[in-house]
Amino acid sequence: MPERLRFVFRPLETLLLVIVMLLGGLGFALVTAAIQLRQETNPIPALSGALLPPAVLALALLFLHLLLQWRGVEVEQVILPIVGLLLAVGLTMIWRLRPPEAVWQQLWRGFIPGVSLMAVLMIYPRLVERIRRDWVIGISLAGLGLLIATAFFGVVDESGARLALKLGPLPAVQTSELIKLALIIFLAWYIEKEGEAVEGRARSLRWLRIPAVRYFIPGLLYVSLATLALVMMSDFGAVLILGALFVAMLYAGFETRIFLTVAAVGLGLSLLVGLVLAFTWEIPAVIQQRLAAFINPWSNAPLLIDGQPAGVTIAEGPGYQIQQAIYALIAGGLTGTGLGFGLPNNIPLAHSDFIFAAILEELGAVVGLALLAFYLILLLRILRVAVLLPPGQQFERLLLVGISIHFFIQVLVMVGGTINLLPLTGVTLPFLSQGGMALLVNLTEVGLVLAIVQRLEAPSP
Amino acid sequence: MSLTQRIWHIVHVMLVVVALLSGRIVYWQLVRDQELQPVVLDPVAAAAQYRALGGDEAIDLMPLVTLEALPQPVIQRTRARLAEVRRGVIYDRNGRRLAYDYETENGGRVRFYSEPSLAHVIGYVSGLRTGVVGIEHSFNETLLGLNRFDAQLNQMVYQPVLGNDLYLTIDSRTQRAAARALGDRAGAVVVLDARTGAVLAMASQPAFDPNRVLDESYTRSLFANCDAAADCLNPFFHRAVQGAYVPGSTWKTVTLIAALDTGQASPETVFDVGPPLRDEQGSYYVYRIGGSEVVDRNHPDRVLDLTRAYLVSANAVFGRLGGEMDPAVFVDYAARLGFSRGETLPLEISTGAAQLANDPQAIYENDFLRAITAIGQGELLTSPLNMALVVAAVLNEGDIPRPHLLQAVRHPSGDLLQAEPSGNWISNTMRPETARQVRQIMIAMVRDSGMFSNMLPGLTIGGKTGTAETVEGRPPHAWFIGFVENEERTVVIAVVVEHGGQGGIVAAPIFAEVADAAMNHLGEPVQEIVPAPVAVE
Amino acid sequence: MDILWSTLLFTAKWLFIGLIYLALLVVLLAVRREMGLQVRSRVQTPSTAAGRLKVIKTGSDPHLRPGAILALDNETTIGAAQDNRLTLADRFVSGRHAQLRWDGAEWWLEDLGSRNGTLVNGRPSPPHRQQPVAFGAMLTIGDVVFELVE
Repeated sequence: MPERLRFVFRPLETLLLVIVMLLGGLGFALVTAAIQLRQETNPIPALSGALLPPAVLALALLFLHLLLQWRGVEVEQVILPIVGLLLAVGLTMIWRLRPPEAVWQQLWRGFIPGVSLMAVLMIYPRLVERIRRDWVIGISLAGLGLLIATAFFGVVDESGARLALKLGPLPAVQTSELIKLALIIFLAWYIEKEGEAVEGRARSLRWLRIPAVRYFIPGLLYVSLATLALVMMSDFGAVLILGALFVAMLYAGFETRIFLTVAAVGLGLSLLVGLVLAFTWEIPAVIQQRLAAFINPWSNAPLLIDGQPAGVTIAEGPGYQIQQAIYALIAGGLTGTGLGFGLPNNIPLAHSDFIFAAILEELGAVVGLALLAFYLILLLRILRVAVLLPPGQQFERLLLVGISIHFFIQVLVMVGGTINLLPLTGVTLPFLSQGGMALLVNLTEVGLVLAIVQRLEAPSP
Repeated sequence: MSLTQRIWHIVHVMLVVVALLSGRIVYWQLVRDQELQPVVLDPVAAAAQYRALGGDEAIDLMPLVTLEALPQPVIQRTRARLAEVRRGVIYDRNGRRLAYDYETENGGRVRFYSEPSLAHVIGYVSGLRTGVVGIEHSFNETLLGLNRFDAQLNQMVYQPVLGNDLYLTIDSRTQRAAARALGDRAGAVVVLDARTGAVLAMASQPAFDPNRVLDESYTRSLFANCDAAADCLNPFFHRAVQGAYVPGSTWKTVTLIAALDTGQASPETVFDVGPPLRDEQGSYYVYRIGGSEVVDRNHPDRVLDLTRAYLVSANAVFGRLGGEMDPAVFVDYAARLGFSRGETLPLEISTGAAQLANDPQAIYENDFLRAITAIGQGELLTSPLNMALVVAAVLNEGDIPRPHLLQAVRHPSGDLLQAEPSGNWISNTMRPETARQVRQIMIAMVRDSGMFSNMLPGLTIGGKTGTAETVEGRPPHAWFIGFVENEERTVVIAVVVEHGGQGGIVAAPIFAEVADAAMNHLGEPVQEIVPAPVAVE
Repeated sequence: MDILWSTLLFTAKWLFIGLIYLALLVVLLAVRREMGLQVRSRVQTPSTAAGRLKVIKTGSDPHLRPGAILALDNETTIGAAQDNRLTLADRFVSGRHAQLRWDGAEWWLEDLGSRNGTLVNGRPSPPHRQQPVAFGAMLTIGDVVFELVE
C-alpha cells in the first residue's frame, strides 16, 4: 500500500532532465540529417520518424520524475538524469550504427519493461523489505536455475556462445544478466543474516581469522555453480563480473582478516577449477586469442591456439577488432568526426561491445571522458546513499554496494578492453550498449536504488 | 573498520580506475596519434611506420609502394579520406593537363596521366599506390590542399577539400620531341632554359606507363628480363637526374673552363702533342704522366690550338692541361661546376650527385687519374642534368641558375599561391670573360664540324660531342651537350644514349631534333597520344 | 552537400557536446553543495522528567527487547540518526522522527515531520504540532511500539 503522499518539487532533476531530453532529440535529428545529407537526399521528411524514439525516452523519464515528486522524495536528484543522459547518448549511437529496428527493440525489450519495474519499485519501496524477508531464496534459485538451463538448452549464437534461453513463443532471454542481480541480492541477504555469526565465531590463526566453513558453503556453492554454467556458456565476461561482485561484497561485508581468508580460499578454488577446465574443454582457445590480441593487436605473427597455427595472423584475426577501435578513437580526436561522418561500423560489434569506441570516434574524447565522469558520479551517489542510510539496514547497504560494483566492473572491463588497457571480455556498458536484457536488469537496479533512496531525508535547513 | 570506511576504500579504487581509463585515452590521443593517422600524406613514412608497428619486413620499397600491405583499418580510412579530397591537377607551362583525376563508373577515382614520357618527372599516385619519386610525391601535401587553412576549415564543416593545382615548366612539344628522338634507346634528354633554369623537357628511357601501373601483370612484365642483374634496365630509374654515366669528352668543357679561367691557357694557345706513334689501328698521340699514357686517336694534326683541340677532342692536349694543373684548382673548378659537392642536384624531385672520383683525394695524389679525368674518363660519373648545368654556367657569365620544374602553385580558384622560383644555384663559377671565351669555342666546335649545317637556320648553336668509354666489350655512351640561342631565348640541351656509340653520330641528331622543337615550336599544342578517359573530371 | 546544411550540422555537433558538458557542470555544482553531512551536537539536559518508555514491540531494531524500560529527558528527541537522545534502528524510523517534552506537568509529543508518521494510540499525530500524551498511551514510531509509563 503506498504511503502518505506529499508532493515535492525536484528542480535540479527537472533542469537536468530538460537538458537530457534536448540532447536526445538533437542527437537523433543530427544522426538522421547527417546520414540523409551524405546520401544527397533531403533530410526533412525523415526527421519526424527520427524524433519518435527520443520522445518515448523523454516521456518515460518524465513519468519517473513525476513519480518521484509524487512520492515526496527530495534527495538524490542526479541519479535519474544521469541514467537518462547515458540512455540518450546510447540510443543516439545505436540509431547511428544500426537500422531503426534496433533502437525500437532496445526500447520495447529493455527500456519500457525496465521503466515499468522501476515505477513499481518506486511506488512500493517496501518491496525491498519484502525481497529481503520473503523472496530472496526464490529469486536466487530462479536465477541460478535459469542459468543452468541455458547452459544446457540455451540458444547458440554466432560466436559459439550460449547466452539466451528460449522458452516456447517468448523471445530469447539473456539469463547471464539475471544471475548478476540474483547474486547481489543473495549475497546481500546472506551477509546481513550471517554476518554477526561469522564474525563472532571465527577462530584466530595468527593475524588471520578463519570463519567456520559451514557459513560459506551456500555462498561458494552458489557462485561456483553459476561460474560453471557460465563457462559452459562461454560467457567469460559474466564470470569476471560474478567474481568481482563476490570479492567486493565480501570485502564490504566482513572485517578484513576474515575477508582475506575467504578471498584466498576462493581464489585457490577457482584457480583449481580453471586448471581442470583447461584440460577438459577447449575454452582456453578464446582466452588465448584475446590475450594475443591484447598484447599487440598489430602483430603479424600467426595466431597460435594450443601451440598450433590457426591459419590467420593476429592482426587479421582477433587483433583486427581492437585495431579498428584504436584507429577509430584516433580518427575522432578531441571533438570527434561528427555523428554520421566517421567509420564506426568498421569496428565489428560496434553497437554493443565497442560502442565506446564508436562514441570516441564520432563524438570525440571530450564526450568519452564526460561519460566516464557521469558513470563515476553515478557510482559515487549510489555509494553515498549506502553510507547515509540509518543504521541497521545492512541488506540495503550491501545491495547498493553490489549494484555500484556491478556498474563499475562493467565500465572498467568494457572501456578497458576497448582502449587496449585490458583484454577483451565481451562485457557491455550499462545503458549505452545495445542489449535488451542487460538494460532491463540495469534499470531494475536503478529502481532498487531509487526505492532505497526514499528512506533518506533531506538534511534539515 | 566500519562499512562506511570500507565503502570509502571502494570509492578510492573507482577513482583510480577512472583515472587510468582516462589516462589511456589521453595516451592514445597524444602519444600515439601521429603514427596511426590515415595515410594520406607520406607513403614512405607509412611503410616505415608499418614496419615499426611490428608488421611485415617484406614491404618492397621499389619506386612503387603499395599500401595494400598496411593494416586493413588504415586502408579503409585512407580510402575514405582520399574520397573527400579532389587532388590538384598538374599542368604544363601552356595549361595542358598532364595529371588529373577522373571518376570511374563505379564511383572510384583514378589518376590519369596524359604524357607517359613524363612518368619519372611527375611520378605516380593512384589511391593506395604511390610512387616515391616525382612531383606527385614531392608535392603530395600541396596537391591535396591539406596544408591550406581554408581546406582545413572545409574539412571541419564536412565539405570536400579541393587540392591546389601545379603548373610545371615543361613544354609538351619539346618533351614529345625529346621522347621521340630518344626512341627505344636507353638514355636521357634534358632541356633547360639557360637563363632561368626552368626545365622545358626531361625524358628518360626506358620508361613506364603510369596509367597501367595499377596492373600487377604490367608492372611485373617490365622486369621480365631482369634475372641477369647487370643487364637489367630498370624502367623506374630516372636517368636524366640520377643516371651516373661517364661523361666522356663533354667533360673537357670543365677542363677548358678551368684552364682559361686560371690563365693556364688561352683559346689561341698552341700545343705540340709530340711525334705520332703507330700501331695496327693507325697513328696516334700520347701524353705521358705518372708512369702511364693518355692515348689520343682523335685527330691527325700534331700541332693545334686550344679551340681546335676542343673541336677534335684532343685527349693529349686536355690530358696535359689536367696533368699540369694544380690539383687543388682542378678539384675546385670541378666543385664549382657541380661535381663532388657532397649534395644532390637541386630540383623538386629526387636527384643524384655527380662524382669526380671514387676518392677525391686521389686527384691530388694520382697524376694519371687527374689527367684521365680531365679528358672525361677516369672515375667520373655524372647525369645529363649535371652536364646541362655546366653549359648553363657558360651562357650566364658564370652563374648556374637553379634548375626547377615548378612554374606556379595555384589555389583551385586560380589565385597564385607560389610563384616560379628564381635565383642561382652556384654563382661566379668563372669570370664573365672566360664564359664568353668558352661560348665562342663551343660555337666554333659546331660551326667548324659542320654537323648541323642545314638543320637549324637562324639559330646560334654551340656544343660538344662526347663518346665515353665504359666497360670492355660494350659500346661507349654517346653524348652531346650544347645550347641553342635566338633573340627570344637560350636553351641548353644535354643528351646521352647509353652504350649508343659515337656522340656525333648518335647523340647529335637527337640534339638537333629537340632544339628544333624548343626553339621553333615552343608552346605549340600536341596531339594526345593516350586516349582520354570518358568521364573527364 | 549544401554549405548551409553542413554549417548547420557543424553547429549541431557543438551544441550536442555543449549540452553534455552543461549537464556535467550542473551535476557537479549541485553535488558539491551536498558533500557535507550535517552533524549536530548533542544537547545534554539533566534528567528530571517523570516518565519512561516501555518497549512493547521492537520492530526491526536489534538493540531493543520487549519489556525494556528506556529513560527520558525533559526533551527527548527520538529518531534514527546518531545524535538523537533516543536512537532507534528500525528501518521505518526517520532521522529525526519525534520529540517528547516534559513541561513539568505533562508530556507533549511532536512529530518532527517524519516520513512514516507517529501514531498515538493508533491515530496519526499531526506533524509539527505538539500533542499532549497521557501515561499509558501507546506510541508507534516506525515499527516500534512504546508505552509511556511513569
